[in-house]
Amino acid sequence: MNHPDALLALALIGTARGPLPTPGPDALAGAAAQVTRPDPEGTLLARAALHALAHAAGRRPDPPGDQPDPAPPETLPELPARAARHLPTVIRTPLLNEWLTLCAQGGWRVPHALLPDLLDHAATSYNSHLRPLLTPVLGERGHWLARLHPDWASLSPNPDSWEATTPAGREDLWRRLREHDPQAARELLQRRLDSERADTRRRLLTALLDTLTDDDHPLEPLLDTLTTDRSADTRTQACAALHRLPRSAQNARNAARLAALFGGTPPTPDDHATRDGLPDPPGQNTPALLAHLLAHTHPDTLLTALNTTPAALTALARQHDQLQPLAQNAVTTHHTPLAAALLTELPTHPQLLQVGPPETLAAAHTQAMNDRDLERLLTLLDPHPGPWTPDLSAALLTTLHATCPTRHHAAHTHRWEQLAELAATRAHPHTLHPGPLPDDATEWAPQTMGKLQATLDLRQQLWTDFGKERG
Amino acid sequence: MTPTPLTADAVLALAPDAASAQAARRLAAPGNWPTLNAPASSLWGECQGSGRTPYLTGVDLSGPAPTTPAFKCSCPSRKLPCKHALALLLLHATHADSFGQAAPPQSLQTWLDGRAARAATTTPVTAAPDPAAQAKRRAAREKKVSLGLDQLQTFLKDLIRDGLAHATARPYSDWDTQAARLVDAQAPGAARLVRQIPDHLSDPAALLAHLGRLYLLTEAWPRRDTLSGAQQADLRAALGFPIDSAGVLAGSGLQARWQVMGQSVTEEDTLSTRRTWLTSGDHTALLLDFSAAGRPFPPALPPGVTLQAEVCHAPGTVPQRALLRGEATPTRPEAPPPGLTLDALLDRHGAALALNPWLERTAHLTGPLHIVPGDPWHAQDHTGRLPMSGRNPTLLALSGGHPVTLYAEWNGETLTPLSALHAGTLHPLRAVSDA
Repeated sequence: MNHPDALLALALIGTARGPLPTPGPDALAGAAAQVTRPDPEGTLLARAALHALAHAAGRRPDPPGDQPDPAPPETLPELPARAARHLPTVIRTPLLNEWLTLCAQGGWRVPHALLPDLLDHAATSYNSHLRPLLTPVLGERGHWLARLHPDWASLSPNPDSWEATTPAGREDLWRRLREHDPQAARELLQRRLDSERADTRRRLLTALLDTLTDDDHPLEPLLDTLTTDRSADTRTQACAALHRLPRSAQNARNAARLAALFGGTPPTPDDHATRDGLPDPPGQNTPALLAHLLAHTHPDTLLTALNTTPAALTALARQHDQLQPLAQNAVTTHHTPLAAALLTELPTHPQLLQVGPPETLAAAHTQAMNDRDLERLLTLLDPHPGPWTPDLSAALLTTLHATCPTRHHAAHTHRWEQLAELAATRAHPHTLHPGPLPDDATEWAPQTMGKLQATLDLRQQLWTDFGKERG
Repeated sequence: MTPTPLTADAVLALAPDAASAQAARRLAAPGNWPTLNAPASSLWGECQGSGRTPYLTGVDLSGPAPTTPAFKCSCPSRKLPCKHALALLLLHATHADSFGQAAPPQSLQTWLDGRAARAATTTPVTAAPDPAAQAKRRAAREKKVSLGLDQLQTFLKDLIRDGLAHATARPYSDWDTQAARLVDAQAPGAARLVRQIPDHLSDPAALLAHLGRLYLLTEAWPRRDTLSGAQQADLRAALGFPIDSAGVLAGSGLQARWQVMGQSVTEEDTLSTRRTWLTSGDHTALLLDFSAAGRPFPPALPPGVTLQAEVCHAPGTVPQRALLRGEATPTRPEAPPPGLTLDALLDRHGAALALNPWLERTAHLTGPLHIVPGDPWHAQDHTGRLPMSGRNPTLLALSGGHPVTLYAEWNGETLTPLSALHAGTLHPLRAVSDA
């Protein structure tokens, strides 16, 4: 045992229980031998101090270990400082989405020093829109960094790491693949979906529904098998996907059933009734069956099968008092011609207005503003992504100004504030300020308007600094 | 003249705490400020807060160095600077063109004039100390310290006689009582070391080393008269005697270009200590600021800045602790010297320890180093590697796995990076503790 260890051993049991160890022959032990005190405790402490200091002063670096491979060189240009300076201000605010979008639109990547804060925020944020916005702007360094950090790894999943990643990571991987190579994404689903856990399946099917196009008809066999799945969620999602694929067998069956109903012959019970989600009992000429078929058969399939026009189909639905299911159908399938026809019957249906022709929606906006109907404006504008057109933005700010709650009339204050908040992030940032509020405005109204203007100013600065034109 | 804006980083370094910095960022949009003006070497503006009348915020940039502004705000916050003052400075850094030239309102002008008037009059009006009374106070304190350290020595010897294996079984109150006695004996430095004993209970070798170091204090004090002046100063500093600021400032100073290399804050009980490291060639100066019970620190010198300043070192065998004499004016930065290898860093640290056995840490420019994440993180070069304290994602983001040069503290156990040299500029780092 060397001398320091022997000293430590004695210190542990106590000098009352053993003699001081004799220093060895080496130089340091020799120096320690010179250190003596009248009592063994003092001698031990003084010698221990000598050894500890010699040890600390003589320390050498530990042998080197493996180091991570360096990050690959960047392929995108770094975001200029004048735009990057805004990130600390907008991070953890609703404006972060717009900042990230502007960054991606310009083809830039986030400067290295800002990456940790951004990744930290994204990894802890519940905002699901953030992940896809982040991917294009992280740059090589950001992806490299995310993979090295356990908390961030899910923000940059490696395509080869499907097995290792979380359900959220798999969804993210699939969404990215879907963006770059839809065919490969379809093949991945066909290969993998069966063996995934329920949670991952739900996520992947949700991602599919978010991005479904007409090109996805090859997925029909897979979706067909899922309509008899054990999980009710999966069955519903599969039926919803098949409904949105106009040439699916499910749509064809539903169209045939509907044609039979309208032809006066009630459809005969068939093997597919359950998997197609028909209401019980099937085969009866009940309004429930009619409602289901009008809501769950792709409009294109319907129009072809019944050999009719959107206007005639709308009239038919009204005859049977089934306008709402048909409207639901037009909304689900984003069918603009049918929505346009239905709007003649249901001119205020908010979702139909979103799907219908833009000029009808614009007219509805104008109408609501003329009526100063804030409740309706909120319903119409909430699903309308920004930035809004300059005309709509200017008109809305004027409406907000004109409907400002006053000390005499403050009935709609909550709606007014909600609308102002919505306008702050969605309105076109180059919208002119409508001027000072009337003198009898409530005490906090100027503050709300001030906040709205401050946000618009900041966004205007953002656009300028990102080099985005007014258009 | 309109002062050159501080950089946003430099402004945020002035924040008393992270919450203020975050709040200031949110406020730093021109839209929140109906009025913004930057007349001669000051800034003022009105910020719409939650109340009806906006807050009136002023910043005086005419001070000795533009890096040490003074603040005034009509908001009720007790923080200094408050979020409004920080936001005003941030805005000046990012949106200088939004500032007008209008003169401030009367209340602010009075404050600015008052500051200017005070700066013009010379300050030394300290009463001449009574040498006799001073000597008496000093003797009384030394006697108290002697008694306290004597008791500590007995305590340490008792620990060793009974065996350290039994030390873990002692109640915490034992250590606290012993520490409290040393505080009463006016040896707060020794009290601190006693309070640290429980941290080492799980590692007997470290515990014995720690006790040995404490024991050295109790041996050195009674025979302090045999030590050199510098060694006595080391001993007094380790025992927690305050430095004699007037004496230090009356001594010789080093007038040079000093670069602010890094900053770190440690918290012990209710006292926070902020260390600011300056270097000039081979010289190092350590400026300390204290804040008790969560009160904010005085404004900091932002890392990366180079100052023309006169630094007076407190006496000691290893010149480290220092005070600034007079004004520090920002100046053109110099290219930093090359970094030390880790082996050379340990060499310097060892040489300093040989002079002052109680030295807690040294700071060095070291690199180029590879940063290796893991548990713990390591810094490594061709001479080997050293463990780092905490995690430092910003450092990893800046280096990208390529070698990087750091300004870092070494405390004998872990390397704490304070700033990184990135693309020719010093980038301050905040470590993330693993807790």
